[in-house]
Amino acid sequence: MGSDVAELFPEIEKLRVQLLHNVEVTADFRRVEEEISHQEVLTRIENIILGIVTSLSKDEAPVLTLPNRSSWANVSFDSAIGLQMSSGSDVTAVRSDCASSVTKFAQILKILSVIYRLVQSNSYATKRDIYYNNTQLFGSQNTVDHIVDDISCMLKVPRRSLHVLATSKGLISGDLCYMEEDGTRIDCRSSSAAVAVSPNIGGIRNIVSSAKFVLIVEKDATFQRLLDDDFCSKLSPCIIITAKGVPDVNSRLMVRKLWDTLHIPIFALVDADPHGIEIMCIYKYGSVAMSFEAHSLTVPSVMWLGLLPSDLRRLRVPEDALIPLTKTDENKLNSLLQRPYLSSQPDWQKEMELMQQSKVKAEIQSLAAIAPDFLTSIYLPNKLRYGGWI
Amino acid sequence: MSREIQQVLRLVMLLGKQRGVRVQAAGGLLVLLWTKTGAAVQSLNCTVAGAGPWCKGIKMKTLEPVLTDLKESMFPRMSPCPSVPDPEELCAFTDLYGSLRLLLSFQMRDSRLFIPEWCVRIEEFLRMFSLVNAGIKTQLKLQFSQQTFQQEFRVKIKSKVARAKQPSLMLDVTCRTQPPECVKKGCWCQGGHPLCGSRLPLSIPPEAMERDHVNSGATVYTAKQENLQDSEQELSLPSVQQTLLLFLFLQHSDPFTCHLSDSMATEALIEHHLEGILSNNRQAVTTALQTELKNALKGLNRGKKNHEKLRSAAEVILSSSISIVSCSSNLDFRNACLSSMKVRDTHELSASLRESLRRVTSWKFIPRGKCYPTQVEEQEGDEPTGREI
Repeated sequence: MGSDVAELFPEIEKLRVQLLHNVEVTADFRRVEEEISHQEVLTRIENIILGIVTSLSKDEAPVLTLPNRSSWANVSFDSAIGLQMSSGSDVTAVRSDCASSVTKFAQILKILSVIYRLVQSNSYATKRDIYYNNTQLFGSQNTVDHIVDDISCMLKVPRRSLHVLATSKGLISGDLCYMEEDGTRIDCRSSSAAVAVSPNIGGIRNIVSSAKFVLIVEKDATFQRLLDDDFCSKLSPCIIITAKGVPDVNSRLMVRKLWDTLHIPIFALVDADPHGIEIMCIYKYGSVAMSFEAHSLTVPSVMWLGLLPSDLRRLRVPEDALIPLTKTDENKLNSLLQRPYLSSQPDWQKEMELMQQSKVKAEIQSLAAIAPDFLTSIYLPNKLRYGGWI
Repeated sequence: MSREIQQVLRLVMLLGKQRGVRVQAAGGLLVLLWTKTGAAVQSLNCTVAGAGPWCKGIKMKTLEPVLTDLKESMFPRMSPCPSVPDPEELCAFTDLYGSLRLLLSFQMRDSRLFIPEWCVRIEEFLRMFSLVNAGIKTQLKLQFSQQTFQQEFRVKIKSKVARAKQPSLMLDVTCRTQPPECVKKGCWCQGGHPLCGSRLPLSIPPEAMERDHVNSGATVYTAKQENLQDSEQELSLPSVQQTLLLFLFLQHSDPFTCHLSDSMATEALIEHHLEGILSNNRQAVTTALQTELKNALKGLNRGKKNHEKLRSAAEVILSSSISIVSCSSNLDFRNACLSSMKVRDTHELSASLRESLRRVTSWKFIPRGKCYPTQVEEQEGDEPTGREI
């Protein structure tokens, strides 16, 4: 039976109180999620079609305008939100009279018509369904995925309001129960098996949890290790979640939902390498591609628990467990240090500069070189006990 | 008669080459054929007159002895012309092109001349001459029984084509195909686009030549007209005639040939045995032609693919749009769509949108720097000319 975290880990409790206080003080205007009604979604789609019909009535080729979701020039940083799309950002014109863009134009229209029917009938489909319904038109699943996000951005409607679901990558386990939109009860408290993150986060109701913290785990291997070592019981009550690498939208939405509902500390456990740090930044500050939905996806309160570059020295991780940084790693590290949000995280900056100087990286698994159960028996409990997060 | 005219022009061109003058292929050429008024038509008079830079350096005083020398071998059927050509005709010509540099008149006494086919042959020859000497304005005038028939081989669009180690060519690339009515003004290329082909050596079969010749070769040029839609499309596009002209330029050299008569005889011989020469090099010629045709048709094939892309995407665009309009319960939206296209129901809307989409996506004209999108009337000294290669 797990000990009470509040007694054994007073630092977490302090942090939780502090975070709660910040949430109340900041009036939380950004967390008022704009609920887009079904009718509003349909109207926005109808406006697009009316625009097309109007163009054709004047014998002009219709053109769709998509905000550019891949340019850093189109995002700005707000410490309370993260990376968000700037107003007046660059746009891309998709023409219907040009051979190089007409296929994309048709793909967008096709998916718009699918979405229209889904919203109208209050039913759902996955991106995979959309792709397999017309593989010849779309060519690849990636195309459908991008276009759905483009439509979400173009209509300024969250993807979940389009009734298009994505298959979730993520897994979740710990002190958490909730109900899916269709009434299915989900209990994440099984110690041996994790639950797949729901494809319909917006439909989740009746969240019940007494967890004192959430631990985001970068890799599936580490997550499974925590499950095997019964971490959630040892440090009960808590919740662990992984997206198995770069997080998908559903996993990010789930983390955000847990924050909005529980207001408990959220820690990240990632490899001490540039890739891991970038993954953590996506959870905390968001991505360029999804910056138009930053308000509902980012969790700026995420704290970096480990594996810190300074931990490698402090814990004297054996050298043969350390890996030299590659040129790609160095470039990525430089790029991260240039990101607009780093200036508000001096401790993170220091850790990254330390990595730059030492020119080595390490996976979480490197702690096993100290002792096989070092991660779950010593490292994480001590980190949580003594406030070893930044 | 056409053979004689051909020989005269061959002589003038060879003289130009021999002079080593970089001849500007511009000026005028008049071929005047007439019969003596009142006389029974048993002989035909011909005058070939030239003016302008293309005849530069020709001195009539030196030309006539050459003609006399060549008469027996090159012009057996010709005799001196007893009459003079109509001075008014010559005046009108010199007014346009400057003083005469070339004036040759001769007579043919052969009743077989007076069959309609020779007119066609002369016309055809001059048209071919004009195609590859587009800078020279060619006129053909026939005066019989006090009637004048006149043809001017007008060149609206010329294109200068550079050749390796050879003087440039001026080709007539005027497109004679009229655009379909649905094509917007300015969205149709009026001219052809020469593509330079490869050189290939040709071996001459022994039976084709009386003497040894070396270094005979051919260069293949194609001139294609772009911007034309394929006539086999499923959409209701009118079919458009495509034209692909293939020019085969032959060049021969023989270090043992120095006399003009030898050069003329060799050229005539090569022409006479052309089929045999090409057959003798069938594989190389076929390969070269296939390569050039493939290159020439690249743009057309690309256009076909693009058109197919537009067509199949248009079906998806239409069906998706109509699907949304049809199942919308928003009356304002539906009415706005119907009134925009001035139709009564979604069935008519579908047809109307389809037609409009077809109009805006068909006959896409993607001009290149060397296209000729506007109809240009030929004006003296102000003709559209493109430079290729």
